[in-house]
Amino acid sequence: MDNVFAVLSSSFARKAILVAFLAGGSISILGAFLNIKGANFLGAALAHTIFSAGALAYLLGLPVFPVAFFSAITVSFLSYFLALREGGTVERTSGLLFTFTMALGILFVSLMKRYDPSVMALLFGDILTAGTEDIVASLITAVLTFVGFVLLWRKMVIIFQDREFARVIGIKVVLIEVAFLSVLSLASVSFIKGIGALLFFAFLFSPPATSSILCRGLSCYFISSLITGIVASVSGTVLSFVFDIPSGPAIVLILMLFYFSAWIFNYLKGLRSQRG
Amino acid sequence: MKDLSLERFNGNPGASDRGTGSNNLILKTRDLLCGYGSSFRVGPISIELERGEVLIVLGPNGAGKTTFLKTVLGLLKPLSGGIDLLTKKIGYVPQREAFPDFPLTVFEYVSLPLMIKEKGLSRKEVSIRVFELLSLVGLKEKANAKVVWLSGGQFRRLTIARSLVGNPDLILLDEPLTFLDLASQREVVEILGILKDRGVSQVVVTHDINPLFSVGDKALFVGNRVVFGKIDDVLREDLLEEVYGEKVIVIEHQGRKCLIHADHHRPHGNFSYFGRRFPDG
Repeated sequence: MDNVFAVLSSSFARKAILVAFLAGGSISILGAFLNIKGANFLGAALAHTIFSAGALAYLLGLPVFPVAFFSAITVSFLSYFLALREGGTVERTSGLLFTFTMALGILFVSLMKRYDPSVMALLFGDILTAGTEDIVASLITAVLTFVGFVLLWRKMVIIFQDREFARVIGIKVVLIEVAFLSVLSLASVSFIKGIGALLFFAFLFSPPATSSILCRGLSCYFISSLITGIVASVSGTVLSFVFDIPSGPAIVLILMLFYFSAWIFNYLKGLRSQRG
Repeated sequence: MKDLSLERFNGNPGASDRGTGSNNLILKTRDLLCGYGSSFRVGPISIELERGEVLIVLGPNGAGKTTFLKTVLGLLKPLSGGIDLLTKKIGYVPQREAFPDFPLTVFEYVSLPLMIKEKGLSRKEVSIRVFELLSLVGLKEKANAKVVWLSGGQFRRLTIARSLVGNPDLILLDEPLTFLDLASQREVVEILGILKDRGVSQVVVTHDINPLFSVGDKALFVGNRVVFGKIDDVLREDLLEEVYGEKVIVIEHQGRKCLIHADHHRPHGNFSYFGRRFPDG
């Protein structure tokens, strides 16, 4: 316990925990909507887009943030609206763009004359180096996510569940989809330096998957996703400080622990109801 | 020709109403040609539907029934012709909506669109309204169940309940009986009958008219030929043969009509309805 207090007393640790808190909360809520749409793989496509965009920016000496944001917006819009236009699934177009951007990223890295650890940090993240700029970007993304959620969650659930029905009842479908994809792209750029591409995808996928097992209705689903994301990210970050282990794997292991615990709980509950 | 479908979105139904000259009219299409560019077209279709009437849209697979429905709904733009939609209160039951595989209760499935369509309702009013709709379709007891736990027939009834939020004057249903067993078909048809009694007009797209004879008033055949009229007037073997390009027989038993394929011995002939509709036969 003393170790935990010692960690919390340091400034850089508090910054890291704040970024983890904002990332865990925001990304898990965005992931909950992607799960409703059945488009979780869009997160993987975005994560690897940021990696390739970062590699390109380092290669050409350009600022990372605008290049990454432009790439993320392009890939998320292409994945989503191409699928709608061609009548396929977002998973399929996301998968195609995921392999394409990953290939581009590796190509750009191979063209670099010297190894740059900043590029690899985009894959695995480095939450301990979170600076004031990262915290501001994370705060802006978190505020946009939660304001958007409070105002639009009902409409977004209907859109992602049944787009045609949403249009028929008068929801401004395209406007809301564009807003969601923009915030998702912003989140991928804002949080990826801290938590990395792989963890970004884990946050999109694991909390909604865990909540889907535990919950029956939407309130439980969203609240449970939020709590799972925040608790896993904060506790994983604190544990990484205390035990001097990388934060990314610690967070993913806790997310998986939550998932399997939920699965076992659900299984035992089913057994008990069968006996009862 | 003026595209009247735009008038619905401009909120000017009165203008269309004056053009039709009938206060009871709820939907009218004039030489409506719908489809996807030059690759697929259906029409021209001219129909009139009055309040409380049920229009059955019938035709072979791929003939353009759903395309017609989506054009009336405004999901597709008409290629030419006009649509007078004399109400803004429209319900829609989609053809193939997948079961939501995320946590969503039966209550939420109806309450979410209700809160969007009927803004300003208190929590209690929402609850009362949702339970009214669930009672209508016989799912009140399932309100707290996950949607994914429902059977196919129950889910179809739930989609009908959802289409009724906002008290629509007109409901468009796309294949509401497909993949349902006979008992579930009867339950859905009974609900459509109740809605008809309440004065709700319906456009029902189906590939099988037999279960719907009891509620249908008019029929629109879409296929090799487009035919519209009162069911009794258009349900003629010569017309059906032109629409389907195959011989179809209309038989009548105890005052009820039934369509069957002329080739009785086909393994997938349409005899399944005899068991339910004609128990003596």
